[in-house]
Amino acid sequence: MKIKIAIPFFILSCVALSSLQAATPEDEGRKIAEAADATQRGFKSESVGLKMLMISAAGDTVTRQMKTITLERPKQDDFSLTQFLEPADVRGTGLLTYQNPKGDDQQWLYLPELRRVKVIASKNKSGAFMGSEFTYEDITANALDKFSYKKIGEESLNGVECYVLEKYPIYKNSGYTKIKQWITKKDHLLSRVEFTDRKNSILKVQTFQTWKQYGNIWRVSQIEMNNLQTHKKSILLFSDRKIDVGLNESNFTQQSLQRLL
Amino acid sequence: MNTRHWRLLFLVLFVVLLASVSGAFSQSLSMGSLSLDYRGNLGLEAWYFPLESSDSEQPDWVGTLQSDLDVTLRSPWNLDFRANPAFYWDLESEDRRRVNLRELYLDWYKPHFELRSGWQTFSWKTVESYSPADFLNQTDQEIDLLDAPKLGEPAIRSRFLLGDALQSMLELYYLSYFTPARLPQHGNRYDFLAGSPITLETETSQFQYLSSKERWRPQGALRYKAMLGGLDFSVFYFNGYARYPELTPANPSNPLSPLTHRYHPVHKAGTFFQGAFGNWLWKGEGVYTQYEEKYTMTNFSNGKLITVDPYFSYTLGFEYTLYGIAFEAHDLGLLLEALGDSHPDASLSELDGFRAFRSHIFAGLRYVFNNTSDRSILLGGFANYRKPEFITQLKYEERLLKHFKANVELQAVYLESSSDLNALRHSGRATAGIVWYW
Repeated sequence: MKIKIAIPFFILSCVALSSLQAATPEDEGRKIAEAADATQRGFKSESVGLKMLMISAAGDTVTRQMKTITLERPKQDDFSLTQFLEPADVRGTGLLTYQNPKGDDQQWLYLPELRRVKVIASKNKSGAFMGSEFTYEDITANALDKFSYKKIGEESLNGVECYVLEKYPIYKNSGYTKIKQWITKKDHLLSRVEFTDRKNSILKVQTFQTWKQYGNIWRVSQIEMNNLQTHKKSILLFSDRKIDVGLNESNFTQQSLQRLL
Repeated sequence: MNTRHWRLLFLVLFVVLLASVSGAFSQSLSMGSLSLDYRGNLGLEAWYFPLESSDSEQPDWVGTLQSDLDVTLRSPWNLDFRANPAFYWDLESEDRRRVNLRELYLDWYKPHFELRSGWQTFSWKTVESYSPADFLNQTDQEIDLLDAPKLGEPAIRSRFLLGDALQSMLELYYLSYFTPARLPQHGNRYDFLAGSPITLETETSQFQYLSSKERWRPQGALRYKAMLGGLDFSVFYFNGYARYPELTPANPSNPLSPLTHRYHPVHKAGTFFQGAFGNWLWKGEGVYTQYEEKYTMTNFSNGKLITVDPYFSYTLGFEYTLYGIAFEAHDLGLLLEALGDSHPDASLSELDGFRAFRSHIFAGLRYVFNNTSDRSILLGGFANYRKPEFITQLKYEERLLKHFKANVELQAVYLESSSDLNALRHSGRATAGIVWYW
């Protein structure tokens, strides 16, 4: 009788053990990325003010300001609307994005001077966002399925234990061949990112400072992007963040793009 | 307005601009549950025409002070008020001094409905060169010809978002009071009657309308917009006055009397679209025009009686962008558009309005530096593929410091004497401008 019970138990144990052995670095990388992504999801809708400081190699600083609203659409593409506040000549310019988890996003640009909504080609992944060290793909291409993943180790970064993984863009026209991420073990929060360019050199280092928790959602207050090749730097400062602000799809149309946020 | 009024207006404007750079102003003010958002600019633009004109009264130099105020008062009841007057002050010519009320409206909006009433500026333009579909607003060609600013139209516009498909929409327009065209007057560098003894009537009360309600004849438009597989697609219908008038001697028995405007009611139906597919951005506009009643006019150069047929005009093209071409940061956009008309062979004097681009190609290159000063260079031009006729433009633009934007532009024109655009043959110009934004 005991043998009869022991056999299925033995088989189940073997299956469980083999599945553990099958946890490849790729699977582990994907799981860590999913856990990190989960810290950002569930916000329903969000509004936030952004200030971007662009610092030249000589230390001169130029400032940009904008406001962004985002609508989370579980299992669908998120919608976002960014309106530029500074510099004064672009005040009121708006960018509406329907993110596509796998392909190209759909984007519309509103030019207030001309009262014109213009469709824009969103293949421009590697172009500089408003002249900064951030590219469009740094800002928008964060969907899990746009990358493949691989866990490459674990490290202590500034005294915090982190997973280290690499992700590889699987969409076309990326400016990167590899993105290396340090994600904290405790809360699965991004701490540092290194971007490797198409010539296989490390191009930029991104650091995340001051994470805050809003219910179950984590949001960062400051992101710094250092270009190692040009020695330019861009800093994104977030302010007036509001989570679950009651937005719906009608706030993300070409008509709402033409109205001040 | 007389000179005293203008001085007062500019004094007020100057004080507002001065205040705007003080710490008290921050482009947005909160007043309890209301908020006031404002922005504006003050610019100076100089034109130099190197070629001698056919009329000694046309200037070689033109200097224009321009200013724009844009104020929006927002309330918590989904009701906004907006005022956007634009000011023009020619340093020499009083004909080019005015206030254009681009916007002065109340806007009430709900998630699937919007109602806007007052002076408004609309845009149905999707192409980069000449837009046949963007006709709802009258333009002010005394201020500029190829880049004429739009005049605000008194109108009511309602928008309905249809069903769950957020990009499907119906728009209804009611244009209550017709705005006549502002055409270049005698002495203006773009006066197409330059060198001729005939001038244009300037007194708007003398203009003629083929409706007993004259300027109060109701005008309306209907537009349906949908997303079709990544393509933003609109169809529309319009009934109202043609935007360009028939020009006819004010005194029919005196062919040298000033030409007055005569406006004919017209039906227009058409479509416009734009859609991005990879690096390609396709866009186009097509408009069919038919006059309500048989439209006959006398050709004022040869006295022949002409009937204007219904016609179709279009602009179709694409934009292709090469990203990261230099230092992995610069973009180069290539533009190509074809401009056509169902009557490409007719002489312009046998047609209604401004139908000069009937067998043309517009080609352009836009080089964008993607730097912090948004530096860009645009090279573009129209070419007629049936006869030698070229209008080219080279424009450089850059932000200086935080609040200024500078531009330098060269426009070169080559036209045969038989060209429909012959009046522009001396209008090649160099432009330099600087605008202070606040």
